[in-house]
Amino acid sequence: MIEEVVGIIGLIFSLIPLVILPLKIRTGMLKYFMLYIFLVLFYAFYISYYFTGNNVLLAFLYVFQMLFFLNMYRSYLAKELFLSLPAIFYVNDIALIFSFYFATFNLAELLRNKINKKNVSMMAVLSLIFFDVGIIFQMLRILSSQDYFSTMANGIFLIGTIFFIVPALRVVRKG
Amino acid sequence: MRKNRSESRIIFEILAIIEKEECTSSTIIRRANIPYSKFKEIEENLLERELIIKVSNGDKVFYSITDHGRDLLRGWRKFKELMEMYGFEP
Repeated sequence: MIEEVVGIIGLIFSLIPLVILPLKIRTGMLKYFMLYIFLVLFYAFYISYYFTGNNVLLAFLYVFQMLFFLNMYRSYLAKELFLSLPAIFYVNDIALIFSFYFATFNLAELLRNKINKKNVSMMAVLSLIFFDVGIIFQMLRILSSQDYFSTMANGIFLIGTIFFIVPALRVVRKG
Repeated sequence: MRKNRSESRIIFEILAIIEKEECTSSTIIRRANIPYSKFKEIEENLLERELIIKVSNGDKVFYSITDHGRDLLRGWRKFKELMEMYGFEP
């Protein structure tokens, strides 16, 4: 039940920026909008996996989570990574390790920008902290009890998602 | 050293220059710091999408922003501000 609520709230929140940001800008800046699209896909597969229990959907869930952080890290998809996609699909742990790697580097980069007084939102920093903690928690659950769908990790990830969406809401509200 | 600007960034810089005041092609080229060939390419694109218009004044041609261009620029600024919050430089 909790997983279901987490998935639905996550999907709704991740859809918000795609709905409220101006269409004209969206079409020209697809590489930045992929940031939100991967998050939506992550939650879509999350819900699908929750209802079906199909392991293929779980693999997709991990892959989209990884692509979300990769896209944030480079703001474009590194084609080299596609070469390793079959292995990532085969072993979800690899995708999770990549997610951890990209999320941590994003966090370090954002903190560096924040220290250099760039216009980085504290919400974005907080979201990455929660994402990172969620990923670490998920890794620990896998190591300790082979649990690939931890409620606690998903809850922490949802908090990260909400923080991640807040800057978009604030910019749109300013008008 | 200045980073390479993206195509969209150059386009919006040109729109912002024209929004401030009507100006000639040479003023735009100088302020946006782009070669003439690049300017012609972008100018064609902007005119086609009706984001700017050409206004003749004697023997000089000035460029002016349209309402549509102003709207797009407003949206772009909003989007740029958002992406900067995530640490990107669109």
